[in-house]
Amino acid sequence: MMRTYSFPRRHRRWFLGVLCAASLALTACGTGDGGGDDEAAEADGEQSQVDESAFYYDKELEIIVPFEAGGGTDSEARFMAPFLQEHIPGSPTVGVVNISGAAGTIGNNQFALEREHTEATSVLYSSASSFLPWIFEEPALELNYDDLVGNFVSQVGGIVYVRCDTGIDGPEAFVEQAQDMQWVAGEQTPDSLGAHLLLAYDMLGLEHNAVMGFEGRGPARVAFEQGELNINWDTSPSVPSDVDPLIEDGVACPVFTIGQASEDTLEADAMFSEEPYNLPTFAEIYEQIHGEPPSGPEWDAYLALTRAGWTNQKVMWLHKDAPPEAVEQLRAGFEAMTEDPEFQSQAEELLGPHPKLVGDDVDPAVDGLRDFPEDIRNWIMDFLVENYDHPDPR
Amino acid sequence: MFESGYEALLVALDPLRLLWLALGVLVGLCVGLLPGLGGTVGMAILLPFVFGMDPYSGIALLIGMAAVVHTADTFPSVLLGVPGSSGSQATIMDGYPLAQKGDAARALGAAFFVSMVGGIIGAASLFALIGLARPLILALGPPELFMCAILGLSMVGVLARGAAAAGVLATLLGVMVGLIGLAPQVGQYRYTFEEPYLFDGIPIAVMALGLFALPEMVDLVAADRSISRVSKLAGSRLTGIRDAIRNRWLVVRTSVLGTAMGIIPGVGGSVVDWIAYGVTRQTVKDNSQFGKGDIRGVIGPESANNAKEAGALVPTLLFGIPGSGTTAMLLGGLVLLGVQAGPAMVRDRLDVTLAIVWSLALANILGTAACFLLAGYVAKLSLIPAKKLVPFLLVIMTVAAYQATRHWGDILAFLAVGLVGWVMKQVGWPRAPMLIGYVLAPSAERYLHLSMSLHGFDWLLRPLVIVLGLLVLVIVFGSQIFRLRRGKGRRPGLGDMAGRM
Repeated sequence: MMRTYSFPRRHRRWFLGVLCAASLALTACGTGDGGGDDEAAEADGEQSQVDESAFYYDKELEIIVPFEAGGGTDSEARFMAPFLQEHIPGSPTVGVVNISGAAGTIGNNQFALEREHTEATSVLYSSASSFLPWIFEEPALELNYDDLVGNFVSQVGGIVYVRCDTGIDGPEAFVEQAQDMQWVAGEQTPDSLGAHLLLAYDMLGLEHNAVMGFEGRGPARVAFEQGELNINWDTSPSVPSDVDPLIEDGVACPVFTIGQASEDTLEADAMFSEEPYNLPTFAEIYEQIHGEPPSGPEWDAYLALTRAGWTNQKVMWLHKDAPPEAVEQLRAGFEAMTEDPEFQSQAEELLGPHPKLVGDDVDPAVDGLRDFPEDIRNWIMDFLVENYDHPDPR
Repeated sequence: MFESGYEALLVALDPLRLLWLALGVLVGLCVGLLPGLGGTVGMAILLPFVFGMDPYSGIALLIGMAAVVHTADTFPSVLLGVPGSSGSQATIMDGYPLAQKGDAARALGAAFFVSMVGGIIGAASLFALIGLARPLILALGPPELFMCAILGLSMVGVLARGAAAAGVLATLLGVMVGLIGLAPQVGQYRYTFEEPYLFDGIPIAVMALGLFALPEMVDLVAADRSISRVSKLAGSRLTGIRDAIRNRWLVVRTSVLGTAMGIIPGVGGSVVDWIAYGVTRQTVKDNSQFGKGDIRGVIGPESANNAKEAGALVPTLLFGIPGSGTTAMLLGGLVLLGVQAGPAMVRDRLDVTLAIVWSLALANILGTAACFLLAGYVAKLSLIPAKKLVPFLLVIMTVAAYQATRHWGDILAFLAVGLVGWVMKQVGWPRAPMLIGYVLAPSAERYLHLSMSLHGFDWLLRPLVIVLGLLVLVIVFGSQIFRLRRGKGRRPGLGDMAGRM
């Protein structure tokens, strides 16, 4: 062969080989179960005696997060992974795998269709955004949440605030003047978590123009700060960093909290019903405005959406085909994790004061979550279709 | 502020943290070097490790990675004519012809040097602006952001010069591809044919690789030659640095432009290199050699794309609204480090913000130094005959495309977009406008919808909207006037120019 170029053959092959190997290795790492976790698991395993008869001994457990790396659900899963590795009997290697796309539908479908459920080595960490498509009967969704078993539930709280320059500086003024104002709210799409807030504004009798098309809470909050919107809401994890400064500056005045749903009532919120917020729940502010407690189909819808969107916002699921000892031991792992003092202190800081449900508390919670009677479902969809031009999925 | 800046420097210079920074830089260089992989992949690799690190070390690791992707991604753009990441496509325009002429080392030298300068100018602007940026961003409501998107779209006229009709059609085609997926204001999917892969649209990495890389590979194999037409590499890296210093004002101009475009939330981060390229071509004396290997065509986009990273951190840190996949994941990384982005970043966590500034600056210096050392060896890639090089590259690019969402649809989309790109290249249609249309379509639609819902037609009268509108008119018609004044003699040949875009 003619050598018309000066790059030695040996080097060339070496270089390309390295390039290729590196790219393949990066891709493997990129799928999310970072290699470092394995070593940590082994090191831990040697120190404390590992139960070799445990179901998860010498196994790899993947937590499927149906969203991008870096989002709220992903951060929570990554935060828990090392604790789970330590506390699940048998100390399996725990890795987070992000399968994002289509508001969680792609991750949900892959979990449902492409995992061997009898091996119980994949769990799904869902959040309200990936659960609501099931309620709203998204045709592309292949996962049926009724086929799953819950293992762990993480709550969040919600806060609603208005611009102080509307003259409303707190719950009392809100009760008196809210119905005389023209409100502008910003949401993503009508079938997102915002649906719940649209329902709340409607029930309170607020004259409101809901502008759809914001890319998420962040951009809506900026529009609120710009004065384009005058009423807005946020979930508890972003409140300390993003909403508290606005409250301090006198731009945002909080008026009520979503509350937390139990059986048939709305309970106080672990964060926003306490100092320094001291906010009334939606039910309380409703009663103050209308003079009677909320009731009827819209109230049932409100409670059901509170359960799905806030009180049981994030759930760790196994498929019901998983062997019973897997479910049992996984639940034991979650329970031990929440009792770990190190977890408790870090969780308070990272996730806020809202409860984490484990053990016997999980089943009633997830049953309540999935208990979406046909009439409530229809009522919510009618509400969105009639008021917000939502394309009817039925 | 300066005092705390100095303290933050001492924190950043802690040997252990420098080590983390170096590790981040290493990962950043690798993902930048490999065609198609970019900052998001780097973040995905590093995120599992940051939990539990002290915030400054974690920041050094993540920022070190993000800062240098656009330094190293110059390698494939210049040497192979394929984009190293979605931010370095415009470098191909003149960097690749330079490599074909045997001037690869010179192009690389200039590119690395201005990447560093751009990165440092960006970091300095971040430092200077961090206290003032909130009102700046708050001045940009949906109407202004819509006009920014239009401003970006108007650049296609400049980029498609000589093939205006084809450029407009390519833009419209890009816009249509950009609209695939979930509509931004109703929960309804468009052009998805009930195929879940299409629900989120075609990923940008797949578009960039398909449009620019695959056609180049096909033609390279068809011609059966090495990339460099000459068998000896002339030109040295030092010549490149001298070129950069000779064009110092261009470097400053495009760095500032890059930072400014990075700051605008949600618009244009991915097309900043094209905009910088267009602006460079419009504002320099004698642009007849552009597209044929003018070193200024490398200097402009390369200064801008490193500076952009610093600009993009402004909305990310101050408002928690990320402008790109990389910054979105950085936000998540910060949460894992116990830092919540938001207004508090300036008030209570200024130390963290300043650590980010220093990490950016140091990483840019480190990354450039590493690339300089490597350049001599890597430049020889352009001497390898195509039929030996292309199979390797195809494997890497297919893997990179698959990396976008890890769905088999990525590979099909890569091939389909590649076919479209190849046909466009053959018939001399410019491809950059298609990419710009694709990137800006969702923002343009979203912000137009928001502007209309919030203000009706009143938004047209906002002062900043009018200013931006006038700027658009200048860009669209200004180039016609320029061209008429300069005479027809210098007008580049149609196929010659547009074919390479």
